Amino acid sequence: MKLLAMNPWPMVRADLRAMRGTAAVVVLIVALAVAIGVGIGAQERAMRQASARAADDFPLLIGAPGSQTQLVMTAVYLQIDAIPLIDGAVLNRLAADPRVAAAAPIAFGDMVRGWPVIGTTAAFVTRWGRLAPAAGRVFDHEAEAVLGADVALTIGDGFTPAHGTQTHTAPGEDSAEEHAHRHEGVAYTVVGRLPRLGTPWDRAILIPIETVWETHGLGNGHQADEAPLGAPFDARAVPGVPAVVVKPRAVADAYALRGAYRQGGTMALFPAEVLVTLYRAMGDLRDVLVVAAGLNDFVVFLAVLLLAVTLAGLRRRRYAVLRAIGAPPGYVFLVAWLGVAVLIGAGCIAGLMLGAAASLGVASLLAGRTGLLLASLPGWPEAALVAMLFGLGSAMAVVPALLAWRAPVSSGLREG
Amino acid sequence: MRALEVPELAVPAGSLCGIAGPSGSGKTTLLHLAGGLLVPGRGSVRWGDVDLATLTPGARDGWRRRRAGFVFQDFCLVPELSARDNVLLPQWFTAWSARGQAAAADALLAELGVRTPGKRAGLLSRGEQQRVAIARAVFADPAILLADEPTASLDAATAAGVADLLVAHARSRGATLLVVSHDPALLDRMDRVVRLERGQLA
Repeated sequence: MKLLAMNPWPMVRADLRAMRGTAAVVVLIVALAVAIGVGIGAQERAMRQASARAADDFPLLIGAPGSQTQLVMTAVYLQIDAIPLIDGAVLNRLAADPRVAAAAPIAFGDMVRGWPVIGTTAAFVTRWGRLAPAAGRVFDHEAEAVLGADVALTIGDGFTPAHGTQTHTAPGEDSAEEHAHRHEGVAYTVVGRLPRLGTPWDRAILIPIETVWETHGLGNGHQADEAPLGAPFDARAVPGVPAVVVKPRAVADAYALRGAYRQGGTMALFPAEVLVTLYRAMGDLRDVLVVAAGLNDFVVFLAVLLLAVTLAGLRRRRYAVLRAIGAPPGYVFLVAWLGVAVLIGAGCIAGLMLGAAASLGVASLLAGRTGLLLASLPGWPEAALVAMLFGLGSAMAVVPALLAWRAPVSSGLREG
Repeated sequence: MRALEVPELAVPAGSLCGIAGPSGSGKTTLLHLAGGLLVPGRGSVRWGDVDLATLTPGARDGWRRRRAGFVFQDFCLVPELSARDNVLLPQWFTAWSARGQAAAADALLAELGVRTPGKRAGLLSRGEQQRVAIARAVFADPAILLADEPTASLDAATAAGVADLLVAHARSRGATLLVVSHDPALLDRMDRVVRLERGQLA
């Protein structure tokens, strides 16, 4: 095959060197167009994975009737909002229910230097035995606390929580507002730290739920003052709780429990269900963004095509000279086509890297705001998108190459 | 309307033929016909046994590559390539590598007075650029040299040097030289000069 015996690269390099300024701009705009598509895809997928992972520890949630999304956002993602309480006696009913493997109350309302303080049981801190502290131990006395992986305190530190769930400062910073609402006389000592979960709970401080109740003057949930921490609670003494996490024994039990606790003043839900609804909304949004990014890519590639056609016109004499000194039309076609394809290829690779960098930046920003650890590097879907864009760009580059191929030599040589 | 009407023009092999005439008289068209860049509306362009008018475009490209060398008024080098690579450029039309011929290209450039074969063509003086263009045209030892105003953009001294090279090279290799020019000094050195007026041989 004659085409295989040709070497167009010296001319391609010469062409690219001759228009290096234009080439750099083309690579940049293609890279920006590609990066938008790559970033959207990688970020959306990472968001789904991270949010699903965060919900793994919450098979079934029971709360007061109201907004399902609000309950999930508060209990799972710690975007804490004031939500109504359910009767604490539910805890006893669940403890006695044979379909329940384990149940744990979750209580919010306090914070320390912007980190939410969550009251729960030691059993739930270890996710019913699945997690072991990365350092220290789990609390077994009322004045003890366990830290999430991202809380900047150390084992042995003491702290006094403040009432409230909203802070205007970044986690870890003191605020006058927090000082004004401190529970004076209440002190905790840090006794352990959990491993990183990649969820908002990494930023939480976990304390025995009994002390949350006591701090707010609601007793300790047990009949005796010195009762051991955790379940069983006393149905007559246990205060209301915002949410209860339930671990059913089996899938059938999960559905049965969800049905049973959707009445009588409670609402039961699988966080995964709420996520599916959210994903559907996210999916719609993603579709809009993907279409917008696709149109953006198309417009950019069209602009590159027009630029390539213009450049091919400006190079008409150069290509005519090649023909005059013996180049077959196929050689001129390859030089013109490869010149544009190389620019688009470089733009696609740069766009992939730029998209990855942007995704990492956004992931870091989101992790700072939500605590969700996003693995947002581009994957195969993004690589496929870039390959498709490169294919599209290379196909479009055929147009200026055909124009160069078909250009008459004699009139091309007369152009000054 | 016909741009050019030439009943017959015979150029003996190995001779030097000048084509003169006012601008727009059809000189360049005649040169392009002779080089197979254009095909006549009727008639033939015959070099030896080969009638260019009957060849396919691909065959004309091949014939030009093997048999003809072109020199242009403004050199038409690729300024981003070195002098050596400009000379070797036609080799890449049919071969992946021209490395084996680099030494021969350097020797030819030295013979023509270009001592910096690795220097980018765009950085050479105009006289050196035209020497590189001549080296590119003659490197494959073509039987026919076609030159379109090869001295027009050069000062008198450089033009004389370029004319010397073209004539000397054609004479030493027995190549046929067809030159379009307004330069009387160059035309004086041709074996024969044909004149065109409004597309007709005068």
